[in-house]
Amino acid sequence: MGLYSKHAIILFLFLAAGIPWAGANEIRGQIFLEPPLPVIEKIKMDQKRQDKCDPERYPVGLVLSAAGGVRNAVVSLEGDWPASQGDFAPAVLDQKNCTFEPHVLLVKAGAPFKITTSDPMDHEVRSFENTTMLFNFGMGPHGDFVEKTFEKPGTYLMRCGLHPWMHAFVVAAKNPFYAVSDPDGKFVLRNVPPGKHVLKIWHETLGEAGIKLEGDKPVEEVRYVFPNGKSAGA
Amino acid sequence: MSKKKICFLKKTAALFLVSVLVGTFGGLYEKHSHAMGRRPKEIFPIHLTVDFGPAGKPRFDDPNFLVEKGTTPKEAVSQVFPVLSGKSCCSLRDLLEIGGVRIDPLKNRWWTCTLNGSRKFSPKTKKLKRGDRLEWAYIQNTQ
Repeated sequence: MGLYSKHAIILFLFLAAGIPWAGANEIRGQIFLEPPLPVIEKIKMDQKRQDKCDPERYPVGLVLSAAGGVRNAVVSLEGDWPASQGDFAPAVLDQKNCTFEPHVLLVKAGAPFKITTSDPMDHEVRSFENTTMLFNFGMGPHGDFVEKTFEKPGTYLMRCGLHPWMHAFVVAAKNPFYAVSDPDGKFVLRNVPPGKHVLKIWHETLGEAGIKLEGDKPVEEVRYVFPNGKSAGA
Repeated sequence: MSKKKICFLKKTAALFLVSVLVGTFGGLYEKHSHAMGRRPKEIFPIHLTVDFGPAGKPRFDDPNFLVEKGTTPKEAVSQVFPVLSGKSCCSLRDLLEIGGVRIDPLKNRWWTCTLNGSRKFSPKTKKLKRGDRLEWAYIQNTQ
């Protein structure tokens, strides 16, 4: 038996014995709202501001699956990580049928992203950090785009000055370990360094939560249920 | 030089001196009296209401609220409540807060201003007139 084969067998035996995982981890999870789930009804648009938008729509502040999965929750790992450890796809915030798409957009802090419109009417994009407006600009119909950058990591509120129901969030991430939950409330964080972590979950109407993770498995499964206290969609 | 000529010159010099003194001190007096407020601006009543809406503070309602001529809607409300300016829409002079109640972009809560039922004016520049109905209201867009 050659030297390499001996090493391979020893490595296999160590792994089989369950030594701690030393490679990159994955954190998978699902976020729910505690039952009973609220009945979310369509809202009628203000006729004065309706333009050519749909006259009725569901509120976007709380979107749930039939099983109570929470969409658009932002999941991130607390801590300081080298910015070079990954990147996000080029980010675009669109305006379609008088709705920002996506409702929560992840961008890298300090990297430019595009704001565009697919609508046939005017919009006025406003961006806020808490109560301070950072910028505002008007956009004409179709295809126009403006490039913006949030240098500071954080969550920025976007609104339309002409259509008061339109809002979205741009999350400027300081590391690659951010995700937004899908329509079933599911999320995945990949290439997570091994070790103990705190997973932060934020949702615009349900609030914030923190979960301690041991980080000792290649794939860590997380399930979080938001307590049912605030259930009105914004 | 004859006595007549000297007398004439003295009179002319005296007249000149008097006119200079009157001109100088008269102008100063006018300036000073204005600064001291001896010529007060016209004061008249307007109907001012401040509705704190979802913030839950008691409504302010004065049908005979006195303002000076040239007062703007923003200046009028600042006579009753402390106000805070900043950029909420269009300029750094936008009104962010009245009486400790601040705009809340996340909850879609804003200060609005109507003058005689209209919103088509600038609260920062519009000059109020006697009998105007001015309302500041804290509203929440629910859509």
